[in-house]
Amino acid sequence: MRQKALVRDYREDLTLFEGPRPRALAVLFVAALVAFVSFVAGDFTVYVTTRIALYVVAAIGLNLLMGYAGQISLGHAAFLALGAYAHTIVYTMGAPLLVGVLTGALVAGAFGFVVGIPALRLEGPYLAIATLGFQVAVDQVLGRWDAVTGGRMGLRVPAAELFVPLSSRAYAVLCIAIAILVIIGAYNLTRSRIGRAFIAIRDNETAAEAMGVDLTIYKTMAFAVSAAITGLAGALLVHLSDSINPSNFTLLDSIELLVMIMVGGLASILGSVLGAALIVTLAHTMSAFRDYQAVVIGAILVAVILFEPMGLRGRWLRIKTYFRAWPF
Amino acid sequence: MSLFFQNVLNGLSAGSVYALIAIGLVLIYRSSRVLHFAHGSFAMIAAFVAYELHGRGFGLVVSFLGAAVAAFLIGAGTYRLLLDRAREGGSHSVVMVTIALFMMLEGIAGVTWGSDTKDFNHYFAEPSIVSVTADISLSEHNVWINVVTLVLVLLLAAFFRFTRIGIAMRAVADNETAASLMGVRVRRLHAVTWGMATVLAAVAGLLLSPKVFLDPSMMFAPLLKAFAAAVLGGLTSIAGAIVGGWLLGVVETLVGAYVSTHFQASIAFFIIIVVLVVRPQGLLGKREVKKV
Repeated sequence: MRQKALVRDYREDLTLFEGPRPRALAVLFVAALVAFVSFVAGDFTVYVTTRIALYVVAAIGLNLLMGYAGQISLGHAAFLALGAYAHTIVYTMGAPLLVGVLTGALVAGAFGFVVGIPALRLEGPYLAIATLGFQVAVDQVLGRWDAVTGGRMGLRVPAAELFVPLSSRAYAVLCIAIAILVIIGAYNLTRSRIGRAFIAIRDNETAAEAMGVDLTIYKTMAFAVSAAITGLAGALLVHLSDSINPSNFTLLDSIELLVMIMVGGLASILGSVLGAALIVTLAHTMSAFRDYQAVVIGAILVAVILFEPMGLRGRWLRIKTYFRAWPF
Repeated sequence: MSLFFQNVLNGLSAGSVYALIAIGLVLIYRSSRVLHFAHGSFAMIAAFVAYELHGRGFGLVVSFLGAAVAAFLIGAGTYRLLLDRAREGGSHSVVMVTIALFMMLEGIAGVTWGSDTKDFNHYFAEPSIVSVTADISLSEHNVWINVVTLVLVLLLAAFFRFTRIGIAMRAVADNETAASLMGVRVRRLHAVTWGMATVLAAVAGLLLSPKVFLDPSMMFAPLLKAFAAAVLGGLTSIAGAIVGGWLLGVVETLVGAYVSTHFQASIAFFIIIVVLVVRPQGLLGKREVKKV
């Protein structure tokens, strides 16, 4: 079947897959990925794949807030931390894995809601400073509140167990499954009434309000949903090592999330996936040149902003359009 | 009571440094609407330049002048080469470019000078104390900090009042289009503003360097404090940045002295959040009215 080069109505523009072939390809890709992780990949590859899956989730969380709703956040690693700590504490007390993960997401989401309230009055640079303050404040509280968070030493994380103890391969498959659920969920959210409200707020707050978008509700919702998704990723991240401490969730991690969505492409789920995959892979393949990592990632970011503001996804769209419209 | 005044005086000295950095942030924000997250990193690079020059046998004055020239070039060059283009991409792009610069400069400094700390105690071998009254005294270092800050602030005030460039800068800050129609070279002026702001930050870095050791992240905490000071004074007011810096320094020192040193580091963020929620335009800033 020939792919449509022309979009004829709004519904077509919004479909998840353009026809059966891309859908089959997507299913095949996921099946291949799961098979690869379950049987072929070595330990390190499994580890990196799991991290990619979880950072895809976190990047989608941030992209919903920044790309779609247009609100900047320099504090998303704090939501990762909140999810991680909430999950670890509940899980250590004996709650099942998924309950702990959900608790992590809910706690982060609640804090996201709280951060969203001052954000109602702030925009642009002021919001950047406020979220930066939130990031540092969470870091300091986690580092000082010894009784609950174990201070700078952090907490030990019990091994992951979902009815049976999970091997690292099984855990990777679980994380991939969750990432796919989040991708589909986020995609559906962005083409719902809520997603359109986010985009309207981003493009013009005053106009959105005049058209009946309740800023109070939708802005706090954007923060809460974004924080909850990021918290979910944070909760699942803890099982990749046997302990967590505040230095896992610093400002630099927040920046890394921002880099992922800027490089991948703002306001794009596919972009979040590509960006997260690229940056996580880069961070792990460059571990021999650790000192240069920040320099390289910073240079990539500057280059993307100056030369391809739509990110990898923009490049991808252009390539696709080129072939579709060929020979024109 | 004299202890109280002693603390206030020490706080003012700490606040002077925050004020110098905050003035730069405000200059940059007012002229080009960029929130400059790499401001501290530029100052750090300048401090390392002075350290290098001094290490190669140049005198202190020459080293400091060299650092100031380097700071001006880095600041002005960054605007001309990067930010001028990034501004077309909207506010997210601009913030991300300065954040990328922050990452890159810390990385480069780490690679070039190593991440171990360097002692650059360019003041005096024995810390001497200057008595103000019978019970109140100030270290010579703090005297220098206060004097340099005061002189720079006065120079800056005169600059904006009496020189052609200063007046043109104010015009650009008020209305870029109108200024450019009047024949002001807006881009060049932005670049000069960036250079000047970076020099101020470099001075702050050099003033701090005997207190904190030189390392790639030496200016990060002062930069956060300067953000707090700038927000407290209103992000668009230079006078506000100075008042905000001093106020923050004093409050911080008093909290450290009377409440707990544990909270000393967090007080800046507490202030940021309270100010942003209660009075987002800051103490002296003007509320920005959005036209539809």
